[in-house]
Amino acid sequence: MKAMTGPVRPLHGIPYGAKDNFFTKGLRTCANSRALMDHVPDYDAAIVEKLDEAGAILLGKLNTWEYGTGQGLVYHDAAYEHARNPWKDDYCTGGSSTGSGASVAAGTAMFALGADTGGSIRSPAAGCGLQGLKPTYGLISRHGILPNCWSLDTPGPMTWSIEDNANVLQAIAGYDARDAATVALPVPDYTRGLEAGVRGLTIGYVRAIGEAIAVDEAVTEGLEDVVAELKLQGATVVDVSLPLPPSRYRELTTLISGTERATVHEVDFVERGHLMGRELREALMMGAAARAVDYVTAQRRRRELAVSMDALVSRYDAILLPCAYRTATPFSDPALVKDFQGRSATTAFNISGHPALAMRTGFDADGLPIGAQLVGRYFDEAMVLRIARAYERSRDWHSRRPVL
Amino acid sequence: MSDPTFTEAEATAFATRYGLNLPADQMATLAGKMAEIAKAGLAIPRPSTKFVMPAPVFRVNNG
Repeated sequence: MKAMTGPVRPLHGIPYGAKDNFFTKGLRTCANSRALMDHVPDYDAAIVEKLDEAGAILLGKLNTWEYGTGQGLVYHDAAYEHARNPWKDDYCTGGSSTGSGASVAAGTAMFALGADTGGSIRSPAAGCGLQGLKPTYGLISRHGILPNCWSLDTPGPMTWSIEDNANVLQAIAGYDARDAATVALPVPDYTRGLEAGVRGLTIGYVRAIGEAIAVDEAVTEGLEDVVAELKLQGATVVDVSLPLPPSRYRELTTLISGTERATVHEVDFVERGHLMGRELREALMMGAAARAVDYVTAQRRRRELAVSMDALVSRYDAILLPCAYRTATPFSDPALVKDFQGRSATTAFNISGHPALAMRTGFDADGLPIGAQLVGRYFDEAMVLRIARAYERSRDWHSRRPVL
Repeated sequence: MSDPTFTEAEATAFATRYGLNLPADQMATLAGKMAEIAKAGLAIPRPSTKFVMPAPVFRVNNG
């Protein structure tokens, strides 16, 4: 552990964990892959640098689906077994930031870092009952994070409380010349307005997601609880509809993520593909077979969908909708593990780039966490956190912890 | 339009062309994945005008 000297810093002495696709100098970063077992970076990820400057203490690296990607397929063939859900240890956490979700819920880290290409922060946050923020694309540097998909990857904080989330975001946000996607905007004070409440705000509520698949009753009850509380506190909540059902956004990522992933890891696949687990190997096979025409078409379609989504989001202070449509599922039924990951409304906001928070809304009858998703205008994470904090402080969900 | 399909021979030719060092028993899987992503690509609605540019992947630094 590093010695702490000098003035007290914003995260002085706060212990945290990082998903094991964040590079750590001198510390193996294998992203749960036998293909990377000897990978010891000689530099820290930009986020790790920033947290070090802020005084945080890296306790260790956290489990992930192989290479920080996947769809929740359970083959038990990666370097390490799946992380377990602290609320029920034979249940999945959601992924791909699996260990980040588990560690914060279990209290073994005060906060954790995750990275989100299609829901990899928000799914484990929903599964484990955290506050997990996928910030605006371009707010935080990805330098030194094993890439999965350059045009979608977004790192962010996974925390127990909204205040923690704001404090960590404060430390890690900002332009970095080493990541061409980061935007040179001033970083606002994410904590200053945190307790300002919601009186006078207008929040759009996606009551019907427009899918044939249903949102579980407990998740819906949690959403309705948020709506009722925000209204009670003086917000106006109006029903809105997404431009398209969430699954239509997900379809694009097959091409975008698949092709970029295969590009990123082409050499690894050719040289060490035999060491990879089945899910990653087959994802790379598929991405390698994509047509260039279809990839570029997907990126053109993405622009259209981002514009139409922004036309909705920009009209409100935030949009409330489901995150995961159900609670975490048992490993004993791999189809259900995939179902937990697949039944969600997360990917739409990777496609659009808007900030999206998986927020805790309570627990179902079996004691598993339920959650909602709060989406804000571009680079207005402060508003998302402010609204989520208004709900958080009205309930005592944060006082409940898993029995380990 | 019917769904695209690929034979194991086509998968083998693809793997050889691009240097994918896959064992023979995975060629059927590769053929299936080739079909899956081809189908996904064909399913994307084409923009109505040629002036829809791809979403930006990178930006040019001012400095």
